[in-house]
Amino acid sequence: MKRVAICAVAQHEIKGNIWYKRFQDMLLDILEDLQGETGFTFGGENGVKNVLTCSDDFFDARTISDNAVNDVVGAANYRGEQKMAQEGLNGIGYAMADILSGHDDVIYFAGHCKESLSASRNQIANMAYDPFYCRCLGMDYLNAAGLQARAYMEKTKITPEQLAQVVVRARQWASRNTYANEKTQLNLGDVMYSSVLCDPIRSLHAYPVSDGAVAMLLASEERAYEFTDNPIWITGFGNCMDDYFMGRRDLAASSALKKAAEQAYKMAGIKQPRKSVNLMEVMDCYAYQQPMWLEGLGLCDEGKGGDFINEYGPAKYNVNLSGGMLAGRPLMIGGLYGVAEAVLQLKGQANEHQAADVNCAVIQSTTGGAGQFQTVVVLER
Amino acid sequence: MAKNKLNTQAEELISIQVVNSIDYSFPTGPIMGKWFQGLKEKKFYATKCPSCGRTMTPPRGCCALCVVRSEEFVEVGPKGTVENYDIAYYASPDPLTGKVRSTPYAAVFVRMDGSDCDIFTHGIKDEDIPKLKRGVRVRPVWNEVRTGCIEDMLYFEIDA
Ligand SMILES: [Zn+2]
Repeated sequence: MKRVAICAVAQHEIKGNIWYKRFQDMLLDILEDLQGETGFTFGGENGVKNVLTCSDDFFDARTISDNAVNDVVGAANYRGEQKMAQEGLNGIGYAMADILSGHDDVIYFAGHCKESLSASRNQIANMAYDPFYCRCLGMDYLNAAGLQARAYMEKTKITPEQLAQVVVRARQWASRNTYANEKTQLNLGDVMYSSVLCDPIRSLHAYPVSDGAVAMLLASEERAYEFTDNPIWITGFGNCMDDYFMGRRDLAASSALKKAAEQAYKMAGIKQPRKSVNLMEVMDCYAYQQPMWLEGLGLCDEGKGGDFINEYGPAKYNVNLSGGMLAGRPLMIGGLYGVAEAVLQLKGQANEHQAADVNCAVIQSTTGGAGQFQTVVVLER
Repeated sequence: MAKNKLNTQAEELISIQVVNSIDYSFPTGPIMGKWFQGLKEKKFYATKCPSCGRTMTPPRGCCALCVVRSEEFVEVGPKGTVENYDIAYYASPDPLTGKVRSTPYAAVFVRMDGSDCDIFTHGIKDEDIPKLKRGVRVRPVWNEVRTGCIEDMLYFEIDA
């Protein structure tokens, strides 16, 4: 089978409120970074002819939000452009399909999200719900997560100490990552006794408000070496949707993630993820989600997320050495930051948080209330 | 067309009125910030592409044609030439205020003096609408109180 490479990635540093830049300014910065690293252009015979973007109309406060950024992603001067308003990790699948179909051989992919534009990101998430019923009830991603946290905690008997360990560890790793948002160090008590946000979720269990932008260059195997000496290969991709109505779902089971992971592992030829995978980037918007998604990804037994933490599972599998969502990444592109981190790790360019011998990385992301939609990507060097 | 069973039960077809409200704040960034600062001082700033040399009004930080950063400012205007216009006769609510505009009102495409092919869009004084035609010269009318926002300039008027 033909292969598709991620040649290089560029990350904008993540901050709680990048008030001094428009998102267009952020996108231009990372475009220049990526062009500087790879030398790709938009013009001529070998230039990029098709651009993929990821953004959200509500976060950007305009409809067809990609139209407003076409100049800073190189799409304005009569080039193709496709926008996705789904979690950015899915763009890896779209770009791969575009290249494998023979339609294109190089794709520039950029995503952005500034959670700080809205007075509260919960106002945005509230708009994800239907206008007759759940929106009026005040549903948003935070209280959807609260319902899931309770279901998961009751099922697994995971303890407040174990959840606090997840957060403390995230901040420790974030302190080594140039791009990470929240690097303030915490102890277990800080997390366990932080103010209650949406019971049982406490404020330090939740990811901080974040602004960011990520870009990457993808290419066919034939062309990848024009842009890099060490391309990273996309070997697995899968996604899966769960019910919009949370009342029908088994919130503690992450069934959609299991199916998405199954597809991605099958495509990558991975039969035993615990033996093959040596780096994980999971989208842990809330502390309970890290062990829960790791269960769904098959890295630990179902219902044993707490034991996994006690047995140093996150360290063993190099889980979220970037700091992950818990150190602050914007919604929509949390998964893309995960890809950027995994690519750097696989290339051996993660500097102060570089892990040893990384060959196979798995990235998971989610959108919708309580992990409704799940995406999994496998990258290998 | 497929027949929907619900269509026969009109009393169950209820529509609810919803106003979706989200509070935002939008940063201008340095490029748009310079533009607004200019309006406060009755000046129009454009950026100039270092590669193709074209001007952009209002200023953009990136030339869309060349895909290069463009941060050099040049002053254009304040007068210009009408290149195109349209006149709206339907009353629609102003999305920013919710108030219905008085009609007719016009949008004019103005090529500011000192810019090349670049077009700046704004309104025109109501009394000048009947006199609008391509090629007519216009000048800006400024608000007495200017705070660094788009309302600092009220509209164009014909430069007789
Ligand atoms: Zn240019």
